[in-house]
Amino acid sequence: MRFVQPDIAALPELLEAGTDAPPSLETEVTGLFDQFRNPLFRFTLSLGLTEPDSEEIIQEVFLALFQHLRAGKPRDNLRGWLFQVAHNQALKLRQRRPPPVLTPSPAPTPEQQAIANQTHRRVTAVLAALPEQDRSCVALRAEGLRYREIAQILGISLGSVALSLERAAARVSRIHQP
Amino acid sequence: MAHPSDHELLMESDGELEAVRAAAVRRHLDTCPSCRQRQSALANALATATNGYLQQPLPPPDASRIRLAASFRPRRRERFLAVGALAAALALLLFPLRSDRDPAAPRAALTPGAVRTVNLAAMCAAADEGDRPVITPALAQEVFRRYGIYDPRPRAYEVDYLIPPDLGGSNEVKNLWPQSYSDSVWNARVKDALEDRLRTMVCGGSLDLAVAQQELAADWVGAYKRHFHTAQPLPDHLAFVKDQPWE
Repeated sequence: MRFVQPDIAALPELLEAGTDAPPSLETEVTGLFDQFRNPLFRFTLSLGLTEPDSEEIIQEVFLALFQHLRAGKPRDNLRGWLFQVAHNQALKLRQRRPPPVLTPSPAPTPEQQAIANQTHRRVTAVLAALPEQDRSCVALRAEGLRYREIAQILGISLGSVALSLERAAARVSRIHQP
Repeated sequence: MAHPSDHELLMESDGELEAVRAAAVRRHLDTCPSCRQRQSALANALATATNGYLQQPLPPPDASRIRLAASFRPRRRERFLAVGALAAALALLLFPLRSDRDPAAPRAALTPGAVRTVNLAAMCAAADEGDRPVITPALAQEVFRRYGIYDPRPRAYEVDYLIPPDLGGSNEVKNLWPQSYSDSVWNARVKDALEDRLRTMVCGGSLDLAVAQQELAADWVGAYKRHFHTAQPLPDHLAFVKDQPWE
């Protein structure tokens, strides 16, 4: 197995841990968790998972990462690897789960009503209404992934990524139109 | 050139077009205000989507982070526990706990016992003290040294065989230990009485030699209790003298 460089981002934790926990794989994985938990969480939510299910998937993903690194497997583009595993695990979980029962949303509070008028609220609604592939492309692009990486994670072609983004842009543009 | 498609404009904006095509699209954009406007609208729309996506509220990561960190640590502990349990089980199997453990008892790590190949008939035909190998002073000193006894009191110990030569024990240092006469009621004299009993049984055919050797190596005190049906050494045996004390 290759030598694991301690992650700079994990240094405060290393100091905290003292002699009990030497710079290790665990520290590296925890550092990657700090870096990618929110992006992965957003992504699994965008795939229609509930928050508890998303938490579960993220635990699985980082345990898988721990095993992946411990086995000395490739560590180039770990970000892409994380999103890909999260995508696979989320789809698997969705297959196991019965389809969600649609319940009417509770009446919005005045505060929510105020927010609902904002562009942000409308964007969220537009994104939620997008076909899943388009939404996933928007999500992964928002997290800074290149088209090639997005294509690999979702198992689609580069051209499909561009077309999905084009469609999403067209839908979002309409928000601004009166 | 013809006006580029929306997705080509998007790709150019995202830096995803291959170099030659990107250069061509840029040259067109320089001369085409409507394409510039289209590209700008696409980029703005995706920027809006990105902001909306990234601004959604998420539950805090703390509990999840703690859970993840904890899921590494118990594994490590379990692994140690497993190794520890295995070692303990093995140790118990090989060296059962002695209820009357004393500082002068043979230590499994130093004196696990060792045997040589013997001919049973020849071994039994030999007189008790017949071919008993001599423990040289140097060998005795090595035994004391291993047990951290640097100034042994004369006549206080017998440098004893864990498995005696007349039961096939070898003359190796790992079959020897400094057995005190006085530290415990389970002393050298008592063990000598057990050895005589076992030898009688082995040579009489009522006990397998290997079993006798194993009994001595594993837990001679337990073996004594079983063979003499007593929880304490018999008074006769406490006074029993067979081997010479270390002088």
